[in-house]
Amino acid sequence: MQICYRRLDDGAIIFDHRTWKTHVLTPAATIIYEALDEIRPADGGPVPNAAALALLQEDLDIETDTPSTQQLLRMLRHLGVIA
Amino acid sequence: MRLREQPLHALSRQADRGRLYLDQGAARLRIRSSVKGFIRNLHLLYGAFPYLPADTGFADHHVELRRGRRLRALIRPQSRFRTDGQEPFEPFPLHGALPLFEWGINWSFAQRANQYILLHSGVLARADQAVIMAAPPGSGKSTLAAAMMLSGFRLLSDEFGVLDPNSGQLLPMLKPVALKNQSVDVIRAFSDQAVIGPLFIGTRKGDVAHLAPNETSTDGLHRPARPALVIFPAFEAGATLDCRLMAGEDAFAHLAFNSFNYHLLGPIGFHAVADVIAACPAYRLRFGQLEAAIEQIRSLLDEADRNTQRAAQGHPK
Repeated sequence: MQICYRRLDDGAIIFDHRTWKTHVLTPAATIIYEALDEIRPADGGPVPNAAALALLQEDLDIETDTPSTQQLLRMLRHLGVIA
Repeated sequence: MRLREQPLHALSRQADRGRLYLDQGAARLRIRSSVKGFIRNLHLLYGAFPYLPADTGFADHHVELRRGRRLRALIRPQSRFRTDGQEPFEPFPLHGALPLFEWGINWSFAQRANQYILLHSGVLARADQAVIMAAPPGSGKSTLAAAMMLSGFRLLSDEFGVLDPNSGQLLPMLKPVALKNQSVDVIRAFSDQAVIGPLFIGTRKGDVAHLAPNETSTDGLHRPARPALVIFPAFEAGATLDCRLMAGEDAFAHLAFNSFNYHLLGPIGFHAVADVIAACPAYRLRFGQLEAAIEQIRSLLDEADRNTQRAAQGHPK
């Protein structure tokens, strides 16, 4: 397993086994992460980029071009959550 | 038998032969020293600790505190600290041997005790419920820890939250509490039970004096405590008490990223600290008065206890 995910109250933390880095997710980032995790392929592979953007824009009504969302998406790509 | 029940000259002889042992809970030291003033201070500040005979044998850290040699034995005499063959600090003036020893032990423990997660925090316990107090220097953490010990809490550590990743419990790493600057007089005034060593003026951390751990604390040297509450204290002169619940992810970040060795332990540290935060409420506590802060901590512990009992009975918190 590449990452460990722990929910803590409304936020969460992620440990990346490849880099040994810990990432802290705000409550908003946690909602996004958990929504993406639900649509991950059954083999645990990454969510295709287009499907991830569609989820954020259409289902969660999130603007994907803001700096904070871009930063979160970059992090999730590094973690292998998004392709 | 406690250390203070042993005559000073007998301890000095043991130290001279490199056979003075000190049990601090999570670590045992073997000490060699011929610095007489240092042994006298040790006798006072570690007086409630158990006395260990000269043939004790095993120790985790072998430390030596000695006088400077040649000219440095005579002109502006020095004290030098060595641990397992290393000399991590520049020499101190001879009269500063005790603070040098205390910082040396902290350094030695922080370098080597990587079987534990070493949180940068004080830890006190009521019965076996541990309060983890994490804060940067200057926040009043040590002063609050000292006052809590003098108010009936058991001191596990002023500097290290020694978290055992296997059991999830906190182990004592008991040493005198280093009080700095005004805190020395604050604690002297707080309780007439306080045993405080000599004041060392103008150290790199300011004026420092050490508070001896009491018998309640030394009697629990090998008694771990379960994390029950995390506090991030901040002293502010004249401030009214203000206590705010922290988000779990913020509390995790503050606790984990300020630990001595989180970065070395990877997933072990991640899960151990996450388990603490998942089990304990975490609060920011701004205080201007020690008594009010301690009363608030007692009440938070009561609440944490009630919640634990409710959760054990299957009720939501």
